[in-house]
Amino acid sequence: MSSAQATLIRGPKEMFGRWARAVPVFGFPVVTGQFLLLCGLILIAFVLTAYRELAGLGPVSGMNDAYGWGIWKTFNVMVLTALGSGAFAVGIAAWVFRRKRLHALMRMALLTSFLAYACGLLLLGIDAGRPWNFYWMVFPWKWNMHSPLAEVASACRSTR
Amino acid sequence: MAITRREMLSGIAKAGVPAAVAITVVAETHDEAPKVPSAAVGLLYDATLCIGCKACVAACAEANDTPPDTRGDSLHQSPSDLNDMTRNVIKLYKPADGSRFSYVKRQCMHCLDPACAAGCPFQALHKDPQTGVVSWTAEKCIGCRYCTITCPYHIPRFQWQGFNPRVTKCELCSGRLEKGLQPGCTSVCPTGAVKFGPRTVLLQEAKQRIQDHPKRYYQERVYGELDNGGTQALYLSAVPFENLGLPVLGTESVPARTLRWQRRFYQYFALPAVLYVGLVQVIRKSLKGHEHEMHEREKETGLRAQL
Repeated sequence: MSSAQATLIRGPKEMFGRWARAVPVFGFPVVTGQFLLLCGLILIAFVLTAYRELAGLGPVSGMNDAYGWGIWKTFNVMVLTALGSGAFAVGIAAWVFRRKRLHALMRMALLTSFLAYACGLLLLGIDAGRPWNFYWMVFPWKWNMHSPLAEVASACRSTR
Repeated sequence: MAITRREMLSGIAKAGVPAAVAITVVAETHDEAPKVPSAAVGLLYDATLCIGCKACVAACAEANDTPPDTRGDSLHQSPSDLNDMTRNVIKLYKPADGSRFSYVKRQCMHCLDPACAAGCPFQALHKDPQTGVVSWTAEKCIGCRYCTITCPYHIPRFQWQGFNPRVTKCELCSGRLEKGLQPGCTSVCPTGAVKFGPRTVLLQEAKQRIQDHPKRYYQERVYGELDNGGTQALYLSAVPFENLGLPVLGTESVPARTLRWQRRFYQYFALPAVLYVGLVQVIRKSLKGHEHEMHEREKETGLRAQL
């Protein structure tokens, strides 16, 4: 623990008090070894994404006619949507069922769920073969409201 | 801060359960069988007449301006199944016990109620209201591959290579039909195993063949007359249809099973909207109460409180 952190937080009670009053509790350096490692991973991911967009889905994902979705759509929907719905659950508990102590969590929960859904939307652009046609989303009368896929997507959007 | 759940429920109720119920009741039930398009054309494939020459496979590629798929042995056009270059393929069912074998021609069934068109989120797969041909539109497809997943016959195929992937499926050579020509496959078949024509005529002929040749055909019925709500490609076979990749689906179409409930829940987005409005009412109320408490707490402690 760095000294800056030690001076900021003097015990759990103090920490919760500061947190509840929206005082930033982090006083640690941001650019660390771990941070750079993750940046390196992101860089590799960008290169692979460019390769996927140019070469097609097959060479990168190993998907074929028998496994049309593979683990890609599964990861997208079942992992990122599930992570993103954390804010939904906390929000229901805090705002609908009035657990006041959870209010302090809501900003954090909304941020994480925003990140998860933003990642999900970005990944959808990588997972879908023709992402440039996503502009149809702007015209609701062009949607097929009876498509289960469209319903999952709109349900995900409406929880935001 | 007592009865929260009751407040939520009453909020939802006040917001418009009557309206939602009305829409749910008024929503058409869609229980009747899918309608046959007025000028429905189709294919009749008789597996007992097919000699497996694959002339239709080559003619299909030619008619659709597709290069022959020689990826199998770099020499012959020998696709093992439908793929991104193959809209039509002849397959062989040959049981190991030496009992009766059969060829089967696989291409789009052009269902009367197509699951691909029901599943596509952006209407890229479209059934022509006149001819009933199910075709794919490049400008609307986002490449989500839901059509390839949802088709009970596993017909649409996605192109896995390249930056501009397309979905490949039989579109009954609709360009040739407009010129008054037959589809590529039926124009070359030497034995008449696959025939093109209006669906009603083909259905009549298939039934006539069953009558003329008792005990030749499996179950003495035409696959596609009622299966999956009816298809425009009709099949006759001597071996069980399941063995030829034509599963037993019942007379109700695949999308009808889910649409019956989806239409009720999602008609005009009424029920979700009602739920949303009700939740917003409850949240507004509780936030107001919480704000009041927050101000009181700030007065008590003299510290800024966060909501």
